Amino acid sequence: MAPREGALRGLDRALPVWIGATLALLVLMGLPLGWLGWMSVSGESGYTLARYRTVFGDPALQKALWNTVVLSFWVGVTSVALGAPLAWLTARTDVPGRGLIRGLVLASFVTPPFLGAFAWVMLAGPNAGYLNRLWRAASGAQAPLVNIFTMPGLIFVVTIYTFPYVYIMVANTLALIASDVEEAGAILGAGRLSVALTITFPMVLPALVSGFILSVLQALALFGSPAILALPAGFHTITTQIWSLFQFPPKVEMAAAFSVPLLLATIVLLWLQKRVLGRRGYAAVGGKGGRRRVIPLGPWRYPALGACLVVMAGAIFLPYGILAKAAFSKAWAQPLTWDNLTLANFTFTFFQYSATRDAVVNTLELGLLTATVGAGLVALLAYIASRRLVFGYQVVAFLALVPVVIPGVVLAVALFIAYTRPPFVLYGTLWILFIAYLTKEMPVGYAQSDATFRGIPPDLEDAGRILGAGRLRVLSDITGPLARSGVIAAWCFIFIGVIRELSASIICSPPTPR
Amino acid sequence: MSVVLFDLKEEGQFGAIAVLGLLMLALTFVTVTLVQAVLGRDVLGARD
Repeated sequence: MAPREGALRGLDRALPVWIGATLALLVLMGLPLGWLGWMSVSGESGYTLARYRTVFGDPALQKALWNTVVLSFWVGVTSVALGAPLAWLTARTDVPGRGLIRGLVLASFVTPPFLGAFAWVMLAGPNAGYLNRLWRAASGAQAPLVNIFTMPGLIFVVTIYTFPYVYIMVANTLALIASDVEEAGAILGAGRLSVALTITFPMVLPALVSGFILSVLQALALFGSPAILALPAGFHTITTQIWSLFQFPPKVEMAAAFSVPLLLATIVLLWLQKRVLGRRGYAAVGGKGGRRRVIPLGPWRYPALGACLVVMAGAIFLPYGILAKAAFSKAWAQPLTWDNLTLANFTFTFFQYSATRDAVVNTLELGLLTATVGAGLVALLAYIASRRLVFGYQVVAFLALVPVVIPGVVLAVALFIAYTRPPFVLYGTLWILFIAYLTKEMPVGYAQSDATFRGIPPDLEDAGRILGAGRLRVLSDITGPLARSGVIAAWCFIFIGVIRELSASIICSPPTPR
Repeated sequence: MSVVLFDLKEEGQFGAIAVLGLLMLALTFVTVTLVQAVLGRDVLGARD
C-alpha cells in the first residue's frame, strides 16, 4: 500500500477537474464542427463535392452571395464614414456632450440589430411607416419618402448598429496617441491638414482598416436584419438563404455545404484583421504616457454636436421612440393622443399570448442557467490555460475562442446537425438551446476570464501551495475571491448574449405552439 | 424571446413586439450597468 499511496500523493488531485473541463470543451466545439464538415461532403457512397458544386452553380444562391458582398462592403464603408468622425470628435475635440455621445454609442452597441430593424419597419415601411405617414400628411405626396425594404434600407439599418465597432477601435487608438507627435509636426512647419494627413491618419489607419473588416464581418454574419428587411423585399443574403434551406422540406446537407464557405470567408477576414493590427500596432505603443491636447472646434462645436445627434437619432432616438410609442398605443401608426393611449399591449403580451409568457420564462431560465454554468466553465478553462495545467493548454485557449470566427447561422446549423442525431438527441428540448448558447457565448466569457486570471500573479497561489493547500483549495480560497469581479463580468456578458440571441434560437427551436 | 418576436411579426402584432423589445432592452441595459459597476469602466473600453 505504501508505495502506491506515495505515487498517488505525487498526482494533482484536481487533475480530474481540469481534464473534465477540457473534455467538455472538446465535445462542445468538436461535435458540431465535425458534423458540419462531414455533412457538407458526405454522400451515399463516401465523400462528394457535389453539394458545393450545387451551391456555387445555383443562380439563386449566387445572387444571395452577391447581395451579401454588396451589403457587407457598403456596411463597412458607411460604418467607417460614421464611426471614425464620431470617435475623433469625442476623443480629441471639445464638442459638447462627449459623455452623452459615448453613452449613446454604447446604447447602439448593445441594441440587438433585429430590434432596430423591427423599429425601422414601423418608422419607414412604405405604407404604414410613421415617417412616411408624416411625409404624406405634410407634402400631400402619394409616394413614400423612404422605403426600408430595399438594399439601401438594409445597409442603413445594419450600419447604425455596426458603426460602434469602428468607433471603439478608432476612439481607443486616438486615446493612446499623444498630441506631442502632432505638435512636433506643427512646430516643424506642417499645417493642420498636413499634420492630420501625414501624422494622425497613418497612426489610426490600422484601427480604421480593422474596424472596416469587423463591420464587414458583422454584416456578413448577420441574420435578423436581413430576415426582417430583405425577405419582404424579395431578396436573400447568405444567412437568410441558409435559413431558407431549413424550411420544409429541410435540406440540412445543403445548408452545411453553404455554411462552410461563409465560415472560411470569416476566418480569412479575421486573419487579415489580425495581420493589419499586428503589423501596424505602433499607434498603440507610440504615446500612451503622453498628453492629449483637446482641439477647439470654435464655431463648429454645436454643428458638430448636431451631426452626432443626427446619427444617434437614426440609431437610438427614433427606433426607441417608435418602440415606446407602439407599446403604449392602440394604433401605433396614429399620433400619440390621450385617446390612443393604452396598456392593452402589455396585458396581451404578458397575460393573453401564452407563447410570449413562456418565451420570457424560457429566456430568463436559459439566460441564468447558461450564464452560471458558462461563467464557471470559462473560469476553469481560463485558469487551466493561464496556469498551463494540462498538456496542450494552448488548444484549450484556441478552442474556447473558436466560435468567434463562426457566424451565428453557421454555428446554429452545426449545432442543429450535432444535436438532432445520436449520441445526443436534444432537439425539441430546452437543452439544445442551453448547449447552443453555451457554445456560442463561450468566447466572450472566456476572453473576460482569461484577462482576469492573467491579471492575478501566481505568487499568492504558490505561497498557498507551499503551505500545503491543493490546487482546488488555492483556487477556491485565494484565486477565486480575487477573480470574483471578472467572473461576474463574464456571467453578465454571457447573460446579455443569451437574451438577445437569434440565429441559434430560430434554427434549433421547434416551431412555437400558439 | 427572439423567436416569439419573429412569430409576432408574422402576425403583424407590432404592439406586442414593442413591449417585448422594450423588455429585452431593459434587461440588457440593467446587465450592462451591472458589468460597468463591477468592472469600474465602460463596456466600450472593455470590448476593444
